Amino acid sequence: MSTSYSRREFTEAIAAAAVLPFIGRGLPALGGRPVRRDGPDAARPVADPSALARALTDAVRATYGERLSAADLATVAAAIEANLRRAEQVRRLPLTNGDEPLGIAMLEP
Amino acid sequence: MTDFAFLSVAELGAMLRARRTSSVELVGFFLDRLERLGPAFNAVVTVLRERALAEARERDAELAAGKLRGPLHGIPYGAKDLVAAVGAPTTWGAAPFREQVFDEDATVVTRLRAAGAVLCAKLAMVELAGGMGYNQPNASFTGPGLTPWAAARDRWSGGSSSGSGAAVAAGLVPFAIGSETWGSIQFPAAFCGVTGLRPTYGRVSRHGAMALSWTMDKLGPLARTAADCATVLQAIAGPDPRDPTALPHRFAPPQRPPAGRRFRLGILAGARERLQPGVLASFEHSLAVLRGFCELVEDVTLPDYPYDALAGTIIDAEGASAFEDLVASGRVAELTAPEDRLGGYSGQVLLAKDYLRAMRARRPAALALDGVLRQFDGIVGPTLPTVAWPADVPFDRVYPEYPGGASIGGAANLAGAPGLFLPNGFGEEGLPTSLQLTGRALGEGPLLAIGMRFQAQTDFHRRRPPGL
Repeated sequence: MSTSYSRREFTEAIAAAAVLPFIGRGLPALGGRPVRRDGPDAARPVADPSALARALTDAVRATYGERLSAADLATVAAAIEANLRRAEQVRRLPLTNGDEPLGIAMLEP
Repeated sequence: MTDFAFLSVAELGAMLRARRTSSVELVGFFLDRLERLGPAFNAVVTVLRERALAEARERDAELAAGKLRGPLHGIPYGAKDLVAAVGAPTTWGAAPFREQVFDEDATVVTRLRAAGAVLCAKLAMVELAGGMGYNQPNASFTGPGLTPWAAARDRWSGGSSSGSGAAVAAGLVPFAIGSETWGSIQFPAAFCGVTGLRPTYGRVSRHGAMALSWTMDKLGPLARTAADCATVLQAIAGPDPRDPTALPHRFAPPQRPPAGRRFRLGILAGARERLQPGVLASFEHSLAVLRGFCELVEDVTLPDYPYDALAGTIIDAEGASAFEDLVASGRVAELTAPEDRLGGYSGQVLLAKDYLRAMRARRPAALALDGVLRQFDGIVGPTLPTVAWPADVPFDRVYPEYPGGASIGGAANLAGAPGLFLPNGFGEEGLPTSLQLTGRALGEGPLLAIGMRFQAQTDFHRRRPPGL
Protein backbone atom coordinates (compact mmCIF):
# COMPACT_ATOMS: atom_id res chain seq x y z
CA MET A 1 0.00 0.00 0.00
CA SER A 2 1.34 3.42 -0.80
CA THR A 3 1.24 6.34 1.55
CA SER A 4 1.02 10.03 0.84
CA TYR A 5 2.97 10.92 3.96
CA SER A 6 5.80 13.32 3.30
CA ARG A 7 8.96 12.97 5.33
CA ARG A 8 8.22 16.22 7.09
CA GLU A 9 4.74 15.07 8.01
CA PHE A 10 6.14 11.78 9.20
CA THR A 11 8.72 13.48 11.37
CA GLU A 12 6.06 15.73 12.80
CA ALA A 13 3.78 12.79 13.40
CA ILE A 14 6.42 10.83 15.25
CA ALA A 15 7.37 13.84 17.31
CA ALA A 16 3.75 14.55 18.10
CA ALA A 17 3.11 10.95 19.02
CA ALA A 18 5.97 11.05 21.46
CA VAL A 19 4.83 14.33 22.92
CA LEU A 20 1.08 14.00 22.98
CA PRO A 21 0.80 11.61 25.88
CA PHE A 22 2.31 14.28 28.06
CA ILE A 23 0.12 16.97 26.64
CA GLY A 24 -2.80 14.77 27.39
CA ARG A 25 -2.62 13.26 30.77
CA GLY A 26 0.43 14.99 31.95
CA LEU A 27 1.16 11.28 31.99
CA PRO A 28 3.37 9.09 29.87
CA ALA A 29 0.90 6.31 29.11
CA LEU A 30 1.54 3.74 26.39
CA GLY A 31 1.50 0.57 28.40
CA GLY A 32 4.70 -0.71 29.78
CA ARG A 33 7.01 1.84 28.31
CA PRO A 34 8.01 4.77 30.44
CA VAL A 35 7.74 7.62 27.97
CA ARG A 36 9.77 10.76 28.29
CA ARG A 37 9.36 14.14 26.81
CA ASP A 38 11.08 15.00 23.60
CA GLY A 39 11.73 18.64 24.35
CA PRO A 40 11.19 21.39 26.87
CA ASP A 41 7.68 22.17 25.66
CA ALA A 42 6.49 18.60 25.66
CA ALA A 43 4.66 18.79 28.96
CA ARG A 44 2.67 21.87 28.02
CA PRO A 45 -0.96 21.25 28.97
CA VAL A 46 -3.80 21.54 26.51
CA ALA A 47 -5.47 24.88 27.12
CA ASP A 48 -8.78 24.22 25.45
CA PRO A 49 -10.03 20.71 24.79
CA SER A 50 -12.05 20.32 21.62
CA ALA A 51 -15.81 19.99 21.58
CA LEU A 52 -15.50 16.27 21.02
CA ALA A 53 -13.10 15.94 23.94
CA ARG A 54 -15.51 17.83 26.13
CA ALA A 55 -18.38 15.60 25.01
CA LEU A 56 -16.41 12.47 25.74
CA THR A 57 -15.42 13.89 29.11
CA ASP A 58 -19.12 14.33 29.79
CA ALA A 59 -19.52 10.62 29.12
CA VAL A 60 -16.85 9.90 31.72
CA ARG A 61 -18.56 12.29 34.10
CA ALA A 62 -21.91 10.57 33.54
CA THR A 63 -20.43 7.18 34.33
CA TYR A 64 -17.86 7.89 37.00
CA GLY A 65 -18.46 11.50 37.96
CA GLU A 66 -19.38 10.82 41.55
CA ARG A 67 -15.80 9.86 42.32
CA LEU A 68 -13.97 12.42 40.19
CA SER A 69 -13.28 16.00 41.20
CA ALA A 70 -13.31 18.90 38.77
CA ALA A 71 -9.53 18.78 38.71
CA ASP A 72 -9.65 15.06 38.00
CA LEU A 73 -12.05 15.63 35.12
CA ALA A 74 -9.81 18.34 33.69
CA THR A 75 -6.95 15.83 33.69
CA VAL A 76 -9.16 13.24 32.03
CA ALA A 77 -10.30 15.80 29.44
CA ALA A 78 -6.71 16.58 28.55
CA ALA A 79 -5.99 12.88 28.16
CA ILE A 80 -8.99 12.44 25.91
CA GLU A 81 -7.86 15.38 23.80
CA ALA A 82 -4.45 13.77 23.48
CA ASN A 83 -6.05 10.53 22.34
CA LEU A 84 -8.04 12.40 19.70
CA ARG A 85 -4.95 14.18 18.41
CA ARG A 86 -3.08 10.91 18.28
CA ALA A 87 -5.95 9.42 16.32
CA GLU A 88 -5.54 12.24 13.83
CA GLN A 89 -2.00 11.07 13.23
CA VAL A 90 -3.35 7.64 12.45
CA ARG A 91 -6.13 8.98 10.26
CA ARG A 92 -3.68 10.75 7.96
CA LEU A 93 -2.57 7.34 6.81
CA PRO A 94 -4.70 6.43 3.79
CA LEU A 95 -6.48 3.09 3.92
CA THR A 96 -8.64 1.29 1.43
CA ASN A 97 -11.90 -0.52 2.04
CA GLY A 98 -9.98 -3.78 1.81
CA ASP A 99 -7.56 -2.98 4.62
CA GLU A 100 -8.77 -5.23 7.41
CA PRO A 101 -7.81 -5.06 11.08
CA LEU A 102 -4.76 -7.09 11.95
CA GLY A 103 -5.84 -9.51 14.63
CA ILE A 104 -2.46 -11.00 15.31
CA ALA A 105 0.52 -8.72 15.09
CA MET A 106 3.18 -11.20 14.10
CA LEU A 107 4.01 -11.28 10.46
CA GLU A 108 5.15 -14.71 9.48
CA PRO A 109 7.92 -14.43 6.90
CA MET B 1 30.37 -22.27 49.99
CA THR B 2 30.77 -21.68 46.26
CA ASP B 3 29.66 -18.25 45.06
CA PHE B 4 27.06 -19.15 42.45
CA ALA B 5 25.52 -15.67 42.31
CA PHE B 6 26.85 -14.44 38.99
CA LEU B 7 27.37 -17.65 37.09
CA SER B 8 25.42 -18.23 33.92
CA VAL B 9 22.74 -20.86 33.45
CA ALA B 10 25.18 -22.78 31.28
CA GLU B 11 27.85 -22.74 33.98
CA LEU B 12 25.46 -23.70 36.76
CA GLY B 13 24.00 -26.48 34.62
CA ALA B 14 27.45 -27.88 33.93
CA MET B 15 28.19 -27.93 37.66
CA LEU B 16 24.92 -29.70 38.34
CA ARG B 17 25.47 -32.32 35.71
CA ALA B 18 29.02 -32.89 36.97
CA ARG B 19 27.59 -33.37 40.49
CA ARG B 20 29.69 -30.47 41.76
CA THR B 21 26.54 -29.04 43.25
CA SER B 22 22.89 -29.98 43.62
CA SER B 23 19.65 -28.28 42.78
CA VAL B 24 18.85 -28.08 46.48
CA GLU B 25 22.13 -26.29 47.13
CA LEU B 26 21.60 -23.89 44.24
CA VAL B 27 18.01 -23.19 45.15
CA GLY B 28 18.90 -22.67 48.79
CA PHE B 29 21.71 -20.30 47.81
CA PHE B 30 19.45 -18.14 45.64
CA LEU B 31 16.52 -18.26 48.08
CA ASP B 32 18.83 -16.84 50.73
CA ARG B 33 19.92 -14.05 48.41
CA LEU B 34 16.35 -13.28 47.40
CA GLU B 35 15.33 -12.97 51.03
CA ARG B 36 18.43 -11.10 52.17
CA LEU B 37 19.08 -8.76 49.25
CA GLY B 38 15.75 -8.54 47.42
CA PRO B 39 14.31 -5.81 49.65
CA ALA B 40 17.31 -3.54 48.98
CA PHE B 41 16.22 -3.29 45.36
CA ASN B 42 12.44 -3.61 45.84
CA ALA B 43 12.84 -6.56 43.53
CA VAL B 44 10.79 -9.32 45.14
CA VAL B 45 7.12 -9.79 45.91
CA THR B 46 7.03 -13.38 47.15
CA VAL B 47 9.79 -15.90 47.84
CA LEU B 48 8.55 -19.43 47.17
CA ARG B 49 10.85 -21.25 49.58
CA GLU B 50 8.83 -24.39 50.24
CA ARG B 51 7.66 -24.91 46.68
CA ALA B 52 11.16 -24.32 45.33
CA LEU B 53 12.93 -26.65 47.72
CA ALA B 54 10.37 -29.39 47.07
CA GLU B 55 10.93 -29.09 43.33
CA ALA B 56 14.70 -28.96 43.80
CA ARG B 57 14.61 -32.21 45.74
CA GLU B 58 12.64 -33.79 42.90
CA ARG B 59 15.18 -32.57 40.33
CA ASP B 60 18.06 -33.96 42.40
CA ALA B 61 16.32 -37.30 42.72
CA GLU B 62 15.85 -37.40 38.98
CA LEU B 63 19.50 -36.60 38.37
CA ALA B 64 20.51 -39.33 40.78
CA ALA B 65 18.31 -41.70 38.79
CA GLY B 66 19.91 -40.63 35.55
CA LYS B 67 17.05 -38.48 34.29
CA LEU B 68 18.10 -35.12 32.85
CA ARG B 69 15.35 -32.83 31.63
CA GLY B 70 17.71 -30.54 29.74
CA PRO B 71 19.99 -27.54 30.23
CA LEU B 72 17.63 -25.92 32.74
CA HIS B 73 17.42 -29.00 34.96
CA GLY B 74 17.63 -27.85 38.57
CA ILE B 75 18.26 -24.19 37.72
CA PRO B 76 16.52 -21.57 39.91
CA TYR B 77 14.65 -18.65 38.38
CA GLY B 78 12.18 -15.89 39.13
CA ALA B 79 9.09 -14.66 37.30
CA LYS B 80 7.51 -11.26 36.96
CA ASP B 81 4.48 -11.14 39.21
CA LEU B 82 2.03 -11.02 36.33
CA VAL B 83 2.65 -14.71 35.69
CA ALA B 84 0.34 -17.02 37.63
CA ALA B 85 1.92 -19.58 39.95
CA VAL B 86 0.24 -21.87 42.43
CA GLY B 87 1.17 -21.26 46.03
CA ALA B 88 1.58 -17.52 45.91
CA PRO B 89 -0.46 -14.44 45.14
CA THR B 90 -0.16 -13.01 41.65
CA THR B 91 -0.38 -9.32 42.32
CA TRP B 92 0.25 -7.67 38.97
CA GLY B 93 2.26 -5.18 41.03
CA ALA B 94 -0.96 -3.47 42.00
CA ALA B 95 -2.39 -2.97 45.48
CA PRO B 96 -5.96 -3.90 44.45
CA PHE B 97 -4.68 -7.36 43.48
CA ARG B 98 -2.37 -8.07 46.43
CA GLU B 99 -4.49 -11.03 47.51
CA GLN B 100 -5.24 -12.38 44.03
CA VAL B 101 -4.61 -16.13 43.78
CA PHE B 102 -4.85 -18.44 40.77
CA ASP B 103 -5.26 -22.18 41.04
CA GLU B 104 -3.03 -23.11 38.12
CA ASP B 105 0.36 -22.15 36.81
CA ALA B 106 0.78 -20.05 33.70
CA THR B 107 1.93 -21.98 30.66
CA VAL B 108 5.38 -20.39 30.84
CA VAL B 109 5.79 -21.69 34.40
CA THR B 110 4.54 -25.14 33.38
CA ARG B 111 6.98 -25.21 30.48
CA LEU B 112 9.91 -24.18 32.63
CA ARG B 113 9.08 -26.80 35.23
CA ALA B 114 8.91 -29.42 32.50
CA ALA B 115 12.37 -28.26 31.43
CA GLY B 116 13.60 -28.72 34.99
CA ALA B 117 13.82 -25.09 36.11
CA VAL B 118 12.77 -24.25 39.66
CA LEU B 119 10.62 -21.19 40.36
CA CYS B 120 12.02 -19.44 43.43
CA ALA B 121 10.30 -16.05 43.49
CA LYS B 122 7.63 -13.81 42.09
CA LEU B 123 9.39 -10.62 41.13
CA ALA B 124 8.26 -7.02 41.47
CA MET B 125 6.84 -5.02 38.60
CA VAL B 126 5.24 -1.71 37.76
CA GLU B 127 1.57 -1.85 38.63
CA LEU B 128 -0.51 -3.32 35.80
CA ALA B 129 2.64 -3.34 33.66
CA GLY B 130 2.39 0.39 33.26
CA GLY B 131 -1.00 0.28 31.61
CA MET B 132 -2.34 3.23 33.55
CA GLY B 133 0.34 5.62 32.33
CA TYR B 134 2.87 5.88 35.15
CA ASN B 135 5.21 8.84 35.18
CA GLN B 136 7.60 7.86 37.98
CA PRO B 137 9.52 4.85 39.28
CA ASN B 138 7.38 4.68 42.42
CA ALA B 139 4.48 2.96 40.67
CA SER B 140 4.20 -0.36 42.50
CA PHE B 141 3.07 -1.32 45.97
CA THR B 142 6.55 -2.79 46.46
CA GLY B 143 8.17 0.59 45.85
CA PRO B 144 10.40 1.76 43.02
CA GLY B 145 12.60 -0.92 41.53
CA LEU B 146 16.27 -0.02 41.99
CA THR B 147 19.20 -0.99 39.83
CA PRO B 148 21.99 -2.76 41.72
CA TRP B 149 24.54 -0.76 39.76
CA ALA B 150 23.92 2.42 41.75
CA ALA B 151 25.70 1.98 45.06
CA ALA B 152 23.54 4.69 46.57
CA ARG B 153 20.40 2.77 45.58
CA ASP B 154 19.02 5.87 43.95
CA ARG B 155 18.55 4.82 40.32
CA TRP B 156 15.55 3.11 38.77
CA SER B 157 15.80 -0.47 37.55
CA GLY B 158 13.48 0.28 34.62
CA GLY B 159 9.98 -0.93 33.98
CA SER B 160 7.74 -2.57 33.88
CA SER B 161 9.76 -5.77 34.52
CA SER B 162 11.55 -3.94 37.33
CA GLY B 163 12.19 -6.86 39.64
CA SER B 164 13.19 -9.22 36.85
CA GLY B 165 15.98 -6.89 35.76
CA ALA B 166 17.17 -6.05 39.26
CA ALA B 167 17.07 -9.65 40.48
CA VAL B 168 19.23 -10.93 37.65
CA ALA B 169 21.63 -8.00 37.96
CA ALA B 170 22.02 -8.51 41.72
CA GLY B 171 22.61 -12.23 41.40
CA LEU B 172 19.35 -13.12 43.13
CA VAL B 173 18.40 -15.52 40.32
CA PRO B 174 20.32 -16.78 37.27
CA PHE B 175 17.46 -15.78 34.98
CA ALA B 176 14.00 -14.31 35.16
CA ILE B 177 10.86 -14.10 33.08
CA GLY B 178 9.69 -10.62 32.14
CA SER B 179 7.13 -9.24 29.77
CA GLU B 180 7.06 -6.50 27.19
CA THR B 181 4.13 -4.72 25.63
CA TRP B 182 6.30 -1.78 24.67
CA GLY B 183 9.67 -1.40 26.38
CA SER B 184 9.16 -3.48 29.50
CA ILE B 185 12.05 -5.87 28.90
CA GLN B 186 14.10 -3.27 27.03
CA PHE B 187 14.26 -0.73 29.88
CA PRO B 188 15.10 -3.13 32.75
CA ALA B 189 17.71 -4.92 30.65
CA ALA B 190 19.39 -1.61 29.86
CA PHE B 191 19.15 0.00 33.29
CA CYS B 192 20.25 -3.17 35.08
CA GLY B 193 23.05 -4.17 32.70
CA VAL B 194 21.68 -7.63 31.91
CA THR B 195 20.79 -9.43 28.71
CA GLY B 196 17.12 -9.36 27.74
CA LEU B 197 15.18 -10.96 24.92
CA ARG B 198 11.84 -9.70 23.63
CA PRO B 199 10.57 -12.62 21.57
CA THR B 200 8.42 -12.37 18.50
CA TYR B 201 4.76 -11.83 19.33
CA GLY B 202 3.22 -15.28 19.67
CA ARG B 203 6.50 -17.11 20.26
CA VAL B 204 5.61 -17.68 23.91
CA SER B 205 2.16 -18.54 25.22
CA ARG B 206 0.56 -15.79 27.24
CA HIS B 207 -1.85 -18.14 29.00
CA GLY B 208 -1.87 -17.34 32.70
CA ALA B 209 -0.13 -14.00 32.27
CA MET B 210 -1.85 -10.69 32.94
CA ALA B 211 -3.19 -9.13 29.77
CA LEU B 212 -2.51 -5.48 29.12
CA SER B 213 -2.76 -5.60 25.34
CA TRP B 214 -3.70 -8.94 23.83
CA THR B 215 -2.16 -8.20 20.46
CA MET B 216 1.10 -6.75 21.79
CA ASP B 217 2.00 -8.55 25.05
CA LYS B 218 5.09 -10.79 24.92
CA LEU B 219 6.83 -12.87 27.59
CA GLY B 220 10.61 -13.27 27.48
CA PRO B 221 13.76 -13.91 29.51
CA LEU B 222 16.27 -11.67 31.22
CA ALA B 223 19.55 -13.42 31.96
CA ARG B 224 23.32 -12.95 32.06
CA THR B 225 24.04 -14.02 28.51
CA ALA B 226 22.47 -14.29 25.08
CA ALA B 227 23.16 -18.02 25.21
CA ASP B 228 21.11 -18.30 28.40
CA CYS B 229 18.27 -16.37 26.78
CA ALA B 230 18.34 -18.84 23.90
CA THR B 231 18.19 -21.75 26.31
CA VAL B 232 15.19 -20.29 28.10
CA LEU B 233 13.41 -19.39 24.87
CA GLN B 234 13.81 -22.94 23.65
CA ALA B 235 12.04 -24.13 26.79
CA ILE B 236 9.12 -21.71 26.68
CA ALA B 237 8.42 -21.25 22.97
CA GLY B 238 5.85 -23.20 21.02
CA PRO B 239 2.15 -23.79 20.50
CA ASP B 240 -0.37 -23.80 23.32
CA PRO B 241 -4.02 -24.71 22.85
CA ARG B 242 -4.85 -22.33 25.68
CA ASP B 243 -3.42 -19.35 23.82
CA PRO B 244 -4.76 -19.18 20.27
CA THR B 245 -2.13 -16.58 19.36
CA ALA B 246 0.76 -18.89 20.29
CA LEU B 247 2.66 -19.83 17.16
CA PRO B 248 3.33 -23.43 16.22
CA HIS B 249 7.04 -22.84 15.72
CA ARG B 250 9.59 -24.36 18.05
CA PHE B 251 12.86 -22.58 18.69
CA ALA B 252 16.30 -24.11 18.42
CA PRO B 253 19.20 -22.12 19.89
CA PRO B 254 21.99 -21.14 17.50
CA GLN B 255 25.02 -23.38 17.47
CA ARG B 256 27.63 -22.67 20.11
CA PRO B 257 29.85 -21.10 19.09
CA PRO B 258 27.81 -19.65 16.24
CA ALA B 259 28.88 -20.47 12.73
CA GLY B 260 31.54 -18.19 11.33
CA ARG B 261 29.48 -16.43 8.71
CA ARG B 262 29.39 -12.67 8.61
CA PHE B 263 26.13 -11.08 9.64
CA ARG B 264 24.56 -8.02 8.09
CA LEU B 265 23.40 -5.25 10.42
CA GLY B 266 21.69 -1.95 9.66
CA ILE B 267 22.15 1.26 11.64
CA LEU B 268 19.30 3.76 11.58
CA ALA B 269 20.05 7.24 10.33
CA GLY B 270 20.03 9.42 13.42
CA ALA B 271 20.77 6.57 15.80
CA ARG B 272 23.72 8.49 17.27
CA GLU B 273 21.85 11.73 17.85
CA ARG B 274 21.14 13.25 21.24
CA LEU B 275 22.71 10.44 23.25
CA GLN B 276 24.50 10.80 26.54
CA PRO B 277 28.22 10.89 25.77
CA GLY B 278 28.85 7.66 27.66
CA VAL B 279 26.09 5.90 25.75
CA LEU B 280 27.50 7.10 22.44
CA ALA B 281 31.01 5.98 23.39
CA SER B 282 29.75 2.52 24.31
CA PHE B 283 27.82 2.30 21.05
CA GLU B 284 30.84 3.19 18.96
CA HIS B 285 32.93 0.65 20.85
CA SER B 286 30.26 -1.98 20.21
CA LEU B 287 30.25 -1.19 16.51
CA ALA B 288 34.01 -1.72 16.45
CA VAL B 289 33.49 -5.17 17.97
CA LEU B 290 30.65 -5.99 15.60
CA ARG B 291 32.69 -5.00 12.55
CA GLY B 292 34.84 -8.02 13.27
CA PHE B 293 32.06 -10.36 12.20
CA CYS B 294 29.32 -8.19 10.71
CA GLU B 295 28.80 -5.98 7.71
CA LEU B 296 27.45 -2.69 9.01
CA VAL B 297 25.16 -0.64 6.78
CA GLU B 298 24.72 2.99 7.80
CA ASP B 299 21.83 5.41 7.30
CA VAL B 300 19.01 2.90 7.18
CA THR B 301 15.59 4.56 7.31
CA LEU B 302 12.26 3.12 8.32
CA PRO B 303 9.18 3.49 6.12
CA ASP B 304 7.06 6.52 6.91
CA TYR B 305 4.36 5.32 9.28
CA PRO B 306 3.20 6.76 12.61
CA TYR B 307 4.31 3.64 14.47
CA ASP B 308 4.19 5.17 17.92
CA ALA B 309 0.69 6.58 17.44
CA LEU B 310 -0.54 3.24 16.14
CA ALA B 311 1.00 1.30 19.02
CA GLY B 312 -0.22 3.77 21.60
CA THR B 313 -3.78 3.70 20.30
CA ILE B 314 -3.87 -0.09 20.30
CA ILE B 315 -2.41 -0.47 23.77
CA ASP B 316 -4.67 2.18 25.25
CA ALA B 317 -7.79 0.65 23.70
CA GLU B 318 -7.00 -2.92 24.64
CA GLY B 319 -5.80 -1.90 28.10
CA ALA B 320 -9.00 0.05 28.67
CA SER B 321 -10.98 -3.09 27.97
CA ALA B 322 -8.66 -5.37 29.95
CA PHE B 323 -9.02 -3.16 33.03
CA GLU B 324 -12.56 -1.88 32.53
CA ASP B 325 -13.77 -3.74 35.62
CA LEU B 326 -11.01 -2.25 37.73
CA VAL B 327 -11.87 1.26 36.58
CA ALA B 328 -15.59 0.66 37.05
CA SER B 329 -15.03 -0.62 40.57
CA GLY B 330 -13.24 2.54 41.56
CA ARG B 331 -10.34 0.52 42.95
CA VAL B 332 -7.93 2.24 40.59
CA ALA B 333 -7.86 4.79 43.40
CA GLU B 334 -5.79 2.25 45.37
CA LEU B 335 -2.92 2.28 42.88
CA THR B 336 0.41 3.61 44.08
CA ALA B 337 1.25 6.32 41.54
CA PRO B 338 -1.26 9.19 41.70
CA GLU B 339 -1.28 9.48 37.90
CA ASP B 340 -2.23 5.81 37.61
CA ARG B 341 -5.37 6.45 39.64
CA LEU B 342 -6.73 8.64 36.83
CA GLY B 343 -4.96 7.14 33.84
CA GLY B 344 -7.63 4.55 33.11
CA TYR B 345 -10.56 6.87 32.51
CA SER B 346 -9.68 8.36 29.16
CA GLY B 347 -9.37 4.94 27.59
CA GLN B 348 -12.95 4.14 28.56
CA VAL B 349 -14.16 6.56 25.91
CA LEU B 350 -11.52 5.89 23.29
CA LEU B 351 -13.46 5.60 20.07
CA ALA B 352 -13.90 2.16 18.52
CA LYS B 353 -13.28 3.60 15.07
CA ASP B 354 -9.91 4.92 16.19
CA TYR B 355 -8.85 1.55 17.57
CA LEU B 356 -10.01 -0.25 14.44
CA ARG B 357 -8.29 2.24 12.19
CA ALA B 358 -5.05 1.66 14.05
CA MET B 359 -5.51 -2.09 13.69
CA ARG B 360 -6.23 -1.68 9.98
CA ALA B 361 -3.13 0.45 9.50
CA ARG B 362 -1.06 -2.04 11.46
CA ARG B 363 -0.75 -4.57 8.69
CA PRO B 364 0.63 -2.21 6.02
CA ALA B 365 2.90 -0.61 8.62
CA ALA B 366 4.22 -4.00 9.74
CA LEU B 367 4.66 -5.18 6.16
CA ALA B 368 6.59 -2.04 5.32
CA LEU B 369 8.80 -2.48 8.37
CA ASP B 370 9.43 -6.09 7.46
CA GLY B 371 10.51 -4.90 4.03
CA VAL B 372 13.44 -3.20 5.75
CA LEU B 373 14.12 -5.83 8.39
CA ARG B 374 14.31 -8.61 5.84
CA GLN B 375 17.38 -6.98 4.31
CA PHE B 376 19.36 -7.54 7.50
CA ASP B 377 20.03 -9.99 10.27
CA GLY B 378 19.20 -7.12 12.57
CA ILE B 379 19.02 -3.38 13.12
CA VAL B 380 21.55 -2.27 15.73
CA GLY B 381 21.37 0.79 17.94
CA PRO B 382 21.70 2.00 21.49
CA THR B 383 18.98 0.42 23.62
CA LEU B 384 18.31 3.74 25.38
CA PRO B 385 19.82 7.23 25.08
CA THR B 386 20.85 7.49 28.74
CA VAL B 387 21.92 5.42 31.71
CA ALA B 388 19.42 4.53 34.45
CA TRP B 389 17.19 7.38 35.51
CA PRO B 390 17.12 8.81 39.03
CA ALA B 391 14.56 6.99 41.15
CA ASP B 392 13.00 10.17 42.48
CA VAL B 393 12.49 12.19 39.30
CA PRO B 394 9.33 12.06 37.14
CA PHE B 395 9.95 10.70 33.68
CA ASP B 396 8.91 13.92 31.99
CA ARG B 397 11.74 15.75 33.74
CA VAL B 398 14.58 13.29 33.41
CA TYR B 399 17.55 13.96 31.12
CA PRO B 400 15.64 16.32 28.80
CA GLU B 401 18.86 17.09 26.96
CA TYR B 402 19.24 13.45 25.85
CA PRO B 403 15.98 12.27 24.26
CA GLY B 404 17.82 10.06 21.78
CA GLY B 405 17.61 9.91 18.02
CA ALA B 406 15.96 7.46 15.69
CA SER B 407 14.28 4.62 17.52
CA ILE B 408 12.80 1.38 16.33
CA GLY B 409 11.06 0.37 19.55
CA GLY B 410 7.53 1.47 18.69
CA ALA B 411 7.68 0.03 15.19
CA ALA B 412 9.10 -3.28 16.39
CA ASN B 413 6.53 -3.75 19.11
CA LEU B 414 3.72 -2.76 16.75
CA ALA B 415 4.87 -5.41 14.29
CA GLY B 416 5.65 -8.04 16.92
CA ALA B 417 9.32 -8.12 15.93
CA PRO B 418 11.92 -9.53 18.34
CA GLY B 419 14.64 -7.59 20.12
CA LEU B 420 17.80 -8.49 22.00
CA PHE B 421 19.33 -6.16 24.56
CA LEU B 422 22.99 -6.59 25.53
CA PRO B 423 25.13 -4.82 28.13
CA ASN B 424 27.80 -2.96 26.19
CA GLY B 425 29.69 -0.76 28.63
CA PHE B 426 29.34 1.83 31.32
CA GLY B 427 28.42 5.47 31.02
CA GLU B 428 27.64 8.36 33.31
CA GLU B 429 27.86 7.61 37.05
CA GLY B 430 29.40 4.23 36.19
CA LEU B 431 25.97 2.91 35.23
CA PRO B 432 25.48 0.31 32.49
CA THR B 433 24.80 1.09 28.85
CA SER B 434 23.12 -1.27 26.43
CA LEU B 435 23.05 -2.35 22.81
CA GLN B 436 19.83 -3.20 20.98
CA LEU B 437 19.37 -5.64 18.09
CA THR B 438 16.01 -5.83 16.33
CA GLY B 439 15.14 -8.56 13.86
CA ARG B 440 12.26 -9.62 11.72
CA ALA B 441 9.52 -11.85 13.06
CA LEU B 442 10.85 -15.26 14.12
CA GLY B 443 14.36 -13.91 13.67
CA GLU B 444 15.56 -14.53 17.22
CA GLY B 445 18.16 -17.02 16.01
CA PRO B 446 20.40 -14.56 14.17
CA LEU B 447 19.98 -11.96 16.90
CA LEU B 448 21.07 -14.43 19.56
CA ALA B 449 23.93 -15.71 17.41
CA ILE B 450 25.20 -12.15 17.05
CA GLY B 451 24.73 -11.59 20.76
CA MET B 452 26.73 -14.70 21.58
CA ARG B 453 29.55 -13.63 19.29
CA PHE B 454 29.49 -10.15 20.82
CA GLN B 455 29.63 -11.52 24.35
CA ALA B 456 32.47 -13.87 23.41
CA GLN B 457 34.51 -10.74 22.68
CA THR B 458 33.33 -8.52 25.54
CA ASP B 459 33.00 -8.99 29.27
CA PHE B 460 30.33 -6.48 30.25
CA HIS B 461 27.91 -9.29 31.01
CA ARG B 462 30.48 -10.67 33.44
CA ARG B 463 30.79 -7.55 35.56
CA ARG B 464 29.34 -7.45 39.04
CA PRO B 465 27.54 -4.48 40.57
CA PRO B 466 29.42 -2.70 43.37
CA GLY B 467 29.28 -4.42 46.72
CA LEU B 468 27.72 -7.58 45.35
